[in-house]
Amino acid sequence: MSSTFEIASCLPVVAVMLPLVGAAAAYLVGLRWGLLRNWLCCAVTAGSLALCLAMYPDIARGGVLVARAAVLLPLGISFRVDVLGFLLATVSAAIWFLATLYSLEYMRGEHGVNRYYAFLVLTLAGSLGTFLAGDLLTLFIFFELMSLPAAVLVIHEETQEAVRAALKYLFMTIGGSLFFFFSMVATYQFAGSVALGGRGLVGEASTLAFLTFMGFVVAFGIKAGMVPLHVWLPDAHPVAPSPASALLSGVMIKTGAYGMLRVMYEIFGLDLLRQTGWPSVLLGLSVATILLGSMVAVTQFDLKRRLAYSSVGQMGCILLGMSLMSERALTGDVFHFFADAVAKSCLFLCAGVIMKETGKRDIRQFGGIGHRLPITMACFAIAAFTLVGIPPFNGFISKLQLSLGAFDAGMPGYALALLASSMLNAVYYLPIVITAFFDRAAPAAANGAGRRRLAEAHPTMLAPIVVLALGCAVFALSSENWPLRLSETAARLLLRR
Amino acid sequence: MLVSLTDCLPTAPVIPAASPTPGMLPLVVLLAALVAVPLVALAGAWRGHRAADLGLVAALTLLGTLAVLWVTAGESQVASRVPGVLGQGLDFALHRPGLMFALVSTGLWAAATAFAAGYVSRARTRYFVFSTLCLAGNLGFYLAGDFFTLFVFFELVSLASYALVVHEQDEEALAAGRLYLYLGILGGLSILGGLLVLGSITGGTAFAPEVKLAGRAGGLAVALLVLGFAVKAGLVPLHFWLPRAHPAAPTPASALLSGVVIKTGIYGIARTLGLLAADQAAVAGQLVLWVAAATMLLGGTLALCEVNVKRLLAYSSVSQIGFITCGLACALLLADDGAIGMAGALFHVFNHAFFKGTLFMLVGMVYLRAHRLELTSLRGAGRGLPLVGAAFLVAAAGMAGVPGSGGYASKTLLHEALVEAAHIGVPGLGLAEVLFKAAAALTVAYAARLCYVLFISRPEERRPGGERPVEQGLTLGLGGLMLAVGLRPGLWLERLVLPAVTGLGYGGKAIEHLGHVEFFGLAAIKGALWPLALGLALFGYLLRRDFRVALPLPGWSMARVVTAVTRGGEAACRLAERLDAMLDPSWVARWGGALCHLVGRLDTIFDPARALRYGEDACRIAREFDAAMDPERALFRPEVEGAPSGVDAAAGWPARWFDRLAHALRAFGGWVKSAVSDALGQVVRADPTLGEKSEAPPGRMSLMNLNVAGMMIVSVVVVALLLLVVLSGR
Repeated sequence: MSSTFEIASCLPVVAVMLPLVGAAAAYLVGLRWGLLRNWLCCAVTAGSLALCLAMYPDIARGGVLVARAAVLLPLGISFRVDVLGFLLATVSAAIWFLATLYSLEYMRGEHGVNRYYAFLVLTLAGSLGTFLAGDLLTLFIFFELMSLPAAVLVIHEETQEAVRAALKYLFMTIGGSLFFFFSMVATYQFAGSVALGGRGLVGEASTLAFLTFMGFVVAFGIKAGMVPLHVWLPDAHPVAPSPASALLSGVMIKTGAYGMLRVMYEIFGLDLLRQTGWPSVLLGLSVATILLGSMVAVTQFDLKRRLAYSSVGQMGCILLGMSLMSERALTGDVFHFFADAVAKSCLFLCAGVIMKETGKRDIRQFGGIGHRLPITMACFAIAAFTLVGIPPFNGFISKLQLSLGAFDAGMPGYALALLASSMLNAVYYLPIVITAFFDRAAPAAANGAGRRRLAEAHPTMLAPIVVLALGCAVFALSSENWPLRLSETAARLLLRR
Repeated sequence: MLVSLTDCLPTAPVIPAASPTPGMLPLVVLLAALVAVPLVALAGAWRGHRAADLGLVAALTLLGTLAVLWVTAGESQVASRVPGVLGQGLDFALHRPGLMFALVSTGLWAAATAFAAGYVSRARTRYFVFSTLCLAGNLGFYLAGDFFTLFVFFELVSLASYALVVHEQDEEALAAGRLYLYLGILGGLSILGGLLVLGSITGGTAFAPEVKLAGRAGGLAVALLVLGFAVKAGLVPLHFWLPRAHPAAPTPASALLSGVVIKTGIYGIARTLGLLAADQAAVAGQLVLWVAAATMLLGGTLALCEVNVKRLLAYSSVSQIGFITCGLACALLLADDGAIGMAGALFHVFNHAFFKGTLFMLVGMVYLRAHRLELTSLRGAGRGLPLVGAAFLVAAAGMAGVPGSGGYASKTLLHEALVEAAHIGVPGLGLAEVLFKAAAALTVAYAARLCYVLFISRPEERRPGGERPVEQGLTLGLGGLMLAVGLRPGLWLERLVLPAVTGLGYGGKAIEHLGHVEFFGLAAIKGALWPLALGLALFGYLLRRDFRVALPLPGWSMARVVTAVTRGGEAACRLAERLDAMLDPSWVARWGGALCHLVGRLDTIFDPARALRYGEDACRIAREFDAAMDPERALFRPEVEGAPSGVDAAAGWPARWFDRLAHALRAFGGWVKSAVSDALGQVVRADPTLGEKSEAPPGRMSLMNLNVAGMMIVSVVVVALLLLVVLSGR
């Protein structure tokens, strides 16, 4: 795929500007007309998704969309969309759209809805900008534009717990930004440029280069929930409203891993990393992340907290994949971005339905909810199987590719960490499914009696869940696995093969 | 009817290794099975009892299809590939070994589904949906064309059969199900790990890769794969889940689990062992042989002492799996001549599926009437059921290996394989043969016990007899099948087993060798009579003691190991939680807050307001001093101060200067006093305990403060002097 060519396009700019303007518009409209605002938000997120998809023909030809927004913004902001950015931006826009649709019913009658919708759309702008950024400065700006407003989503419930979690999130995010800023400045010092898309800007190893690398590790590690910097995540994600948790856990923490991926392969470059062995730092940390996140998840009985710790574990897999530095590992890595985003957001949306319909958060009290919420719990089961890595779902593909990548990289021991992760995921996910469907506390499910206490959620809440659950299975089962093809191309592109 | 193998095997089939031809057949069969699953669900949602009918129709259709395929399949296998699925693509093939296993599975499935229609009463739709799903998984497993596809469907079987295990949803079933599920997943992960190693060696996961596995990596791959499949097969020491999970399921599901599902493990092991290079095969063969010996002995012993009928049958399954694995070991040890071992193993797979499945279903029929499972309360429980009794006798005879039954034929082959392996000088085979006979005797003993208790001993209470038509049909059909196999074993061996053995890569000469086995020859019957006599004697002895035997079993069991591992895991997770709590940065906030407080206190010291105050004081003193020094003032002082006497004024300047000095000293003293009292007053304000004490009049307090200040100043000066002395002395 060395035959990439650049295409000037304003699509990325429009895709990012649309939610940015849409957020302000939604807030103003929402002051008077609530319903109009809700549908405006849906339209804006759907529009962003459409704009992302509109880039596909050029991407499929092997092109790279480039836009310098000098006219619009004097900051030297630039966008550069290759396969990787395109895939992640599309997936996140799709999930945003589904979460907004889900919010229509979920947030009905809640307080602060106007604020909620405006910030929901604003964070989409930040997230898209991060994935489509063409240089580190743009990445930084949109990274902040996503991270800081996200605190408003975390604090939404306005309980003491939420305030504390949001403060922790905010302080750690700001701390991460400082590290990011330092490393960005240092990169500029090395190379005189912070543009992404090259083979490596930092020429040779030095102490300052290592510090720069570690600065990036800390900055993106905080966002990605890497142990020991994950501490904000299990507090912040569960307190947010469920659709916001889905976005926080499903997409926003992926921006940290995405930034790390870009920085490793395009700022430092494969040769330098191979030569210095710096990614071994990340290898060790990612194994710690996998094990600690998964093991702590076993001890949590609050559903959303368990899901949040599971996110930590899954981010460990993603960080592990990028630091293995082999083609199949990277393929699995990029595919796991997709698989985990879809499955995790599906799980959080299911958790929202469970909490709203049954009022229960403690998974030990879930006995028999599978009979009350059959569709929700079936989708929950599919998403859980995906994350455990049971065939035939997406998660199996990504974990298989990651393990194969570990063998390619000559480090088969790390495949063991991935297998251990699968086992631990089974230990904390399957009991939820089992309790929901097979627990004796279930209403005696004699033949046909399953129908009698059916209390399934509203269709606009159910539809996003079903779509996401299908997303876990359909691509894996089809012969033309579109995200996997894109992941393969992205991996080759990152490795410059 | 004495039929020797040579009669019905005119020419040994010499089948060249054929290249597969592409075709859609295996895929069509699998898709039919998969499509049946939602159909069964729909039927169940429409009308509950339709689920069972549709499940039966699906199983019978598949059975018919497979039978037609078996008959019409040519020598070359049909392979179909589904590219891209799961990132790797799935490979399917119609090959003889898989088809044989699939035929056996589907046949028993049809019987068990027919039985379940009248047995399963609650959550019927769920039962039949998962039963059909499990059947589809089984078919996919046996039609798989490489290890990757095998693994995918292995997982499907594991998960789908979980729903069958926990079907009763009581605490026992859920606990057994947990064990089953997690061991199944661990086994699956072990297989996946083996596949990864295999892929890194051979570059693929084909059944017959171009390079045979050798060396440490090859050994690791095979070990991981075999370990994973051994969990499913129930080989000692990984058998412990089986006697808990199989009895927990409804009886028709137990029949499937024990008769068919554990055979997926056997098939996997057989395929895996075929990967080994010749030099490692001998070592692996010995290893597998002794594991098999342990399995058949332990399973048999535990079955003999068990009171619960279903658990007894489950232990018996463990034991019989040991017999089958013994055949696999012999096939490995005999290398190119291993056809006889493999034939024995596959034939026993076939026989065991039917006799064990039948036994479970017959026990279920008895249970439907007696509602008991303990042998102690089941005396003569089957006496009113003549057909059930007859079928039970046939099945138990097959299990015991009585001449004239299917089990006899397969055990004869297995025994022959052991003798041959001993003949070519494999060490330790003499002992293995003795153990084999001992295990066979144990089988005879518990089979005799089952028959005796259920159908011969005198009942304590009269129970209503009479069999329902479905039960009559099942008993007649299954019993007739087993009789047919038992009376013409050669025919079944030739038509069913040998093609499968050939398909596993055993060549013509070894197949020819099978012609020398005479099932009803004198030597074979004599070999079978020994265990029979021994087993009956054991049964008689135990009957007199009412089966109250204290086995010298170790005080620990694998269940305890599992408990320990679970506890350890939980402890590790709690430890991780503690670690996670320690990582929480709230201590940063706490210490940061303390630090900020401290800085705030320090900051008041540098408060410019105080400096201003001191400065003002200093300025005032300076002004007064200046004023005091002013000679003009001195000159006019009398007038200014209104001193009356001019003599006094003229008393001279020394007196005046002294006066001024005293005045200045007084002013300085006042300043020190006010400054120190100011500082101490702050301390008093800051420390409430000091404040409480100071209820004395303000004047006294300031005096006290002055004293304290003086003492402090003095002590500081003293310490400074001492330090100076010490430092200068060094």
